[in-house]
Amino acid sequence: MKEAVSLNEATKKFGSVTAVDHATFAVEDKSFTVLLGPSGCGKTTLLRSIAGFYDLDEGQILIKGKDVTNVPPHKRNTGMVFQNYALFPHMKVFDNIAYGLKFRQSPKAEAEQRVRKVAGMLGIEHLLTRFPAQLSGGEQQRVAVARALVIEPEVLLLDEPLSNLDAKVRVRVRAELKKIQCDLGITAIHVTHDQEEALAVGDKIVVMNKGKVTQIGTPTEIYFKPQTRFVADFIGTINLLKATVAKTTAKEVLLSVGPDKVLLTCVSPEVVLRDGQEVILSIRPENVELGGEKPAREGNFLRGEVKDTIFMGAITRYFVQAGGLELIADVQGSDVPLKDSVYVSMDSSKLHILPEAS
Amino acid sequence: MMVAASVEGPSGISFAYYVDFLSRKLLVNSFWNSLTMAVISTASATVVGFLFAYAMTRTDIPGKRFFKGVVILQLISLPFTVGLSFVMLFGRRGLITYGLFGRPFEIYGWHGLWMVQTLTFFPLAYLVLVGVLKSIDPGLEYAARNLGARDAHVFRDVVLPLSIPGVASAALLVAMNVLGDFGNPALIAGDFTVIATEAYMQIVGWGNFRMAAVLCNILFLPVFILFIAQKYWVSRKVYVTVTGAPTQLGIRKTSRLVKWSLFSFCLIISTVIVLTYASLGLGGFVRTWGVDYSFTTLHLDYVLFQGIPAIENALIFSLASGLACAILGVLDAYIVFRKKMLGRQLLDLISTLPAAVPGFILGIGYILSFNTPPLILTATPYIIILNNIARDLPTGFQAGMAGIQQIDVSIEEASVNLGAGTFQTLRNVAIPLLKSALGAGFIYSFIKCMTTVSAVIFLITPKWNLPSPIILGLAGEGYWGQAAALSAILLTIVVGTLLVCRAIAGRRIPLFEV
Repeated sequence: MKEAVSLNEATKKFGSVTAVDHATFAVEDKSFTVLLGPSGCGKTTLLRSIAGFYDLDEGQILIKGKDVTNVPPHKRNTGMVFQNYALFPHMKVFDNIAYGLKFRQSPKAEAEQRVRKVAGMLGIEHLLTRFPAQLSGGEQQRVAVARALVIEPEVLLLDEPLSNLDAKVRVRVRAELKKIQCDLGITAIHVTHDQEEALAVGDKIVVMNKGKVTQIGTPTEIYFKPQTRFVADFIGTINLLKATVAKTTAKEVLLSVGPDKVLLTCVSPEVVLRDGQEVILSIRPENVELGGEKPAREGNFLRGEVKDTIFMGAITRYFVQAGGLELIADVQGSDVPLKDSVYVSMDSSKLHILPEAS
Repeated sequence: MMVAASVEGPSGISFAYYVDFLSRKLLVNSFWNSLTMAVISTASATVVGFLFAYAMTRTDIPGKRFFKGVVILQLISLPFTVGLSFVMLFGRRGLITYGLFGRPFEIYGWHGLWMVQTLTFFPLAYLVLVGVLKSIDPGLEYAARNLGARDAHVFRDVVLPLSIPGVASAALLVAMNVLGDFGNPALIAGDFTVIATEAYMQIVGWGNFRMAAVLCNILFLPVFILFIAQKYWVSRKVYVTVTGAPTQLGIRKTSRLVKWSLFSFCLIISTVIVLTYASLGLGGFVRTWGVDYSFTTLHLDYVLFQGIPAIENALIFSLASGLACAILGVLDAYIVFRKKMLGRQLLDLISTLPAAVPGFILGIGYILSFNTPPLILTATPYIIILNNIARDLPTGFQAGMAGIQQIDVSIEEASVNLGAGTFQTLRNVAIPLLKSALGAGFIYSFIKCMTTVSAVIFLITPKWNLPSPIILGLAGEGYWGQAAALSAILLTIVVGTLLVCRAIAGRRIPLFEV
């Protein structure tokens, strides 16, 4: 697949702080890529560098194969949707959307047609004669998206555009954004600190921490196969267990886990392990199964005791002590809460060894 | 500031004049008098300003519009109105002291000047403190109350500590203005001579420009220290208490005792100020103030005949300098806040420093600089306009700054992102959004130029005269009627301009939202 945007050792410093530290990755053409990380991780700086608002201290940025590192921002043809939308308060919605076309020599009639088309796509045709101050947050957001799309940018840059919306609107709008991106077949780079949002919209997720790119992958890879402790911790809830490699075979690894040296098997990871090596094992709470009866599977189960439960609506979260381990297990819609003594079992394919700690 | 340097020039060659200064007891005394007056007036004006600001922002006293109106009137008025009318009301033949109580009262002297300066400059302190008090989240007071603090404790432990940096800032602003004031000391100080009036005497009375320059330099030092302190130290200490969503809670109810005490206080101060304006209006229509209070239009006739050319001059000069200040100020602020340019810091300093330079120093500096080649401007209108621009650039700059800080940087970035270059962004986005800042800058500088006195008094000539120095001159020679009449006309023009602009601009340009 072609690359829409490539970063090559991109580095941006503010004084002594390195905001973006040698970031190297490529964004596939027509993909929806999410830059995810906690605040201050450098994701917005990276996005703004792609837009050209910051000059890199080192490295290169390529858009559609062309080196734009030294191209001023107004010549990059990136459409950006700002966190606060940054609509021009003195212009009507129509003029806001048409603004970028002024600098692209499109004839007036054609410009109007393009504005109407994109406004129609976003369902804001009826707002064209209003001023931004007369719009709701969600409507303003659509105008901002329309304004960025109408110029047919090489890449659409989204700087936390959903963070100012209500939780419900946010979920709806993010689905719409994804659909528009898909329908138009454009490349989008979306910055967020909301891991749920990242998983929901991203074709690819780039996880950043302290200016560095820690992991790049599809949402399922990021979620189930985190490469580092940071990624595992940052996204959702996860059980992290200290373990020692007891025996390795072609297909499976036998691990001795926790203070009680419980033996668990796990499907072999891509990395090569040796016996006696200390590793970190991870498993998502929804993959930890609980039962009152002895499970059918051979091995990979242990007896435990429920310490606490939290009812969370669709699921119930159990805090279980088993074999000297503290485990979190999410069980779907359990009408009868499990109490006291339980069996805890884990599928060997769901257990994942963090390569970083290996 | 080449002007400041030029002041230094003639005296810098030898220190003989400084030695001379030290040997003249009168001059040394006037220096100490200036400092003393600055200290006591600053203290009183800041306290009055704080009480006013507290009453307006933290209580629900009635008549807020009236009190605000009085404050605005004081801010836009001639800087020596209070001095002028105090002599008429409380002087030896004053309407109240002599007319009402039948006893001559000695208003001339430090006590008179103190009262006058307090009333003249407390609105400056008020303006700063209102901003500070408004920014203190009332939620904090509720929190303190909730934790068991009594009203007095809430004030002592929360409101006061949070406003201390603002109080310091306000006090420094008042002090700079008191040190530089010329009109009120000239009218009411009597034997209590201050540097500003002495410098005037040195030039007008003795033609001793060098000694005047020495006096300027000596006074400039404390003023400059205050300016630097205000700009780089105090302003950094202002607490930002805006965290997260602003509280929707209204102001807390104050105790009735506090409320009505503050109300009485504001009422007394405002009444005195209203009286001063009333006496000006009245003074223009009575035959001989203090002796014969029968109605006459004699003064008005005289003033219309004499004053109209001066008022025309003032209007033209103020229009020119107002426009220049607005445009330069906004441009200047745009560069300082948006562009990473070399010399940005210096530009920032230049744009704010003139506000701190006492007017008479700037005036004397201008005579000294433009008396000699390469640029001889003395006795031309250009020197007055140039001087006004230099003095009021900070006003335009401040309006520009306020405007720019309201425009999120990302709005300009959005424009660039969509393909507009720097110039196109300036034309399509920045300038349209800064229109109201330009308007505000113009109106503020225009009003200031109309009423300015301390700088231009050194620059006017019989041909290029201005109303405010004429008023001062008339009052100095005891022509109270004419002085009052001309003041009344000038004030009517200024207040009228403001009202008309407010009516036209409506909410788009917030003028004197105090």
